[in-house]
Amino acid sequence: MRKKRMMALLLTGVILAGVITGCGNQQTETPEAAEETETAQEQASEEAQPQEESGGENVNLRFCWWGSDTRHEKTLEALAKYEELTGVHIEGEYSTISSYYEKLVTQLAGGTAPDIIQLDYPWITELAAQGDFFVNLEEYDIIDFGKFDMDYTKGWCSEGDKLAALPMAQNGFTLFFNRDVVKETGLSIDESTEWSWEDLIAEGEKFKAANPDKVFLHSDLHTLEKNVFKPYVLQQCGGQWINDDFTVNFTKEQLANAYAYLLELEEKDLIQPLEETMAYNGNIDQNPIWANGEAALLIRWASDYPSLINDNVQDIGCCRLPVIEGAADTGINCKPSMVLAINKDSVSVEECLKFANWMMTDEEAIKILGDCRGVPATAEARGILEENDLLNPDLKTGIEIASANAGTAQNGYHDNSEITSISTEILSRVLYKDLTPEEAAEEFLNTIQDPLATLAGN
Amino acid sequence: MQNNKWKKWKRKYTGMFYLTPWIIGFLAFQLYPLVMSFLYSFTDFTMLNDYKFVGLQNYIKIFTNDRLFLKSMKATFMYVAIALPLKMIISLFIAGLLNQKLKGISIFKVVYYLPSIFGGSVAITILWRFIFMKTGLLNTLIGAVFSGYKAFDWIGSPKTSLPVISLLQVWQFGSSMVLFLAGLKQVPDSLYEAADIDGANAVQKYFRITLPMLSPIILFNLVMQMIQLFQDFTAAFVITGGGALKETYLYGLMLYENGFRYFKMGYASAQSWILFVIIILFTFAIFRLSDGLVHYED
Repeated sequence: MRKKRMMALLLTGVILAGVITGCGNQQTETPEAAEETETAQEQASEEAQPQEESGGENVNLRFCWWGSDTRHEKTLEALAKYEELTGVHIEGEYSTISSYYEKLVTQLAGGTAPDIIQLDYPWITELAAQGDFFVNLEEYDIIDFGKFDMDYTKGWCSEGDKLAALPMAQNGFTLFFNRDVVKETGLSIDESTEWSWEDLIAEGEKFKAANPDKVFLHSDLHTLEKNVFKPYVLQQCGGQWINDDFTVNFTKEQLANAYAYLLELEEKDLIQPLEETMAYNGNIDQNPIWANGEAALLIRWASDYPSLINDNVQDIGCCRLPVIEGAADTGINCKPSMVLAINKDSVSVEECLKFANWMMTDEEAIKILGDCRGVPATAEARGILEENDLLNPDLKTGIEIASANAGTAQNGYHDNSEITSISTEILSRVLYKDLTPEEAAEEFLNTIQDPLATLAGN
Repeated sequence: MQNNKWKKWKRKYTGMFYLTPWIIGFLAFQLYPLVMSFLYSFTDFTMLNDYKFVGLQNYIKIFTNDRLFLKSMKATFMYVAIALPLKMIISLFIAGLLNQKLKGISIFKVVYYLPSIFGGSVAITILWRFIFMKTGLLNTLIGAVFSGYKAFDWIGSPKTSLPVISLLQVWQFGSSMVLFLAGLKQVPDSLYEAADIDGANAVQKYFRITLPMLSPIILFNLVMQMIQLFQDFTAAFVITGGGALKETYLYGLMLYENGFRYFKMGYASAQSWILFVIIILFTFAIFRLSDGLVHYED
């Protein structure tokens, strides 16, 4: 009997060992599996025949990106066209942004990362601290740098002296409004509106008094942290969110002001209570409030414009993000919407660079891709799209408004995942009334010391 | 002579040969990562860096300077405490129902097993939202029964978010139900017939025959489900993302975030070894407590 039980215990231990090494790998695979299935599906089926003069036969590359269905379809069309022209086959590996970075880092660690990689610019800094993964684009004479604004390109895509990526499109925060709701409710807002945060509350109170069933500012915890809390703090303190020497500019009082402002938004019913939006946190588009035309305002990246249009919401406009009176900085985050890097271990760096150059500078490629990644980063591409009526004018307006009011260009630590997690969690405690704004400010300053020390290498 | 030797060798090693794929898989995908994760737990490994040995620093930090560790432990223990007994009772109850000799019972068996196949997916997240959100099915039903009921967001409230995600696990009772069902089929009819002759009623038969005969399977299911629940990740990841107020920040989710979101793989390895020890202790305790309660037929 005892022996039998010991055997059972031993067997249990073996099973446990198996499971723990994968950190519960059966479960972790599940959500990602959905994306991988998505990635495997809908691969380009065009039957383009390689032309005889092409020099790229037998070259197979992989290109990964995230985005919406429209972006997937247009990029796959561009890949098929490129294969038709050059014979170079590029396999598209596409998904949503969810877990994209986690998967990419795992692939880089395992040496299985794609050849051509779409990145968000802060990842260049994060990854550069861990190793050398991307090609220095200036070491090759393939990219037509004359077509790029090199100050902009180097400003966002360099790490030290190395140019690690190319900007694909421009982006910036804007305050979107649903024109139908605006008309229906008499809300006073148009493209020229430049509210302060106090104006936002004053207008919101009037709006809610007349329309108690409508949502004034559509939000979730994630967007409140990114699009209201951080800009509100930066507008008070100016400069970087996290300085290059891993110090911060903001004070406890400034943080407390931002928390108090968000709490006021919730208490005055200008945003949905956190309890109601938690189920959609990080996936705000799944919350039907905006899609059903029940919300007036939304703060998002200008490049999100196409995803905000649907059967119920056809007419939207955008204006400047609110800025506090006498702000030290507008805090309006303007950045490349995404950047393109080449894997240093690619099977053919030169072919990757040729493709990258074609994708961003060739007229045919520009026309195929249109504004699926936002307003292109090169002036020539913008011109081509405008001439051919392929650039959404509202999207262009959004970028222009954001760019005209851009705050300090934020370094790669702006979106540090651990500090963002802390910031989001503490904000949720304020909105759940678990902490007062003052307690939250103190907690935030204390808690970020550890990740800041880690970043500094201490 | 030669032939005999070959036969002897063959008899001795054929079994081993068939086991080879499993052994290779175990060594490469279980033992090697297990050993490596133990070694990494003493380093500052991030998956991409040239890591260095940091001694017990990760373990010391977990116990002295990790504000989320205890919160996560508490959430995980609560989660196991809610989901484990409920899952065991429901799977045993349903297995009892499915053990009846009815026409078309196989269809019911498949239907009850389906939730276990769905696992944690985006579809399940949406289903749970439809049930538990403010304007969801649950509130509608309660509102229909109790007039004046004020709708409540079950997922977003810190008080109810953990029970809500626990229910996802309870709902996926299929695998333990199948084991219980197999166990019930093994109970000899002669025991029930003898009990009938002795005048035992249904309750007495259930507690004096069925449960003791099922006790090894109950023990097995208890241990396996406990291990699975301690390591669970999906429910918290897909439904609440660890909120509200970190009330559903399960240990598995904490490991995932440290390892794959913040890339602190050495630290996450140390945390996984702590969980390993906790599970071993609980498993050992269950075995000790089961002494005399589990009936083995030998």
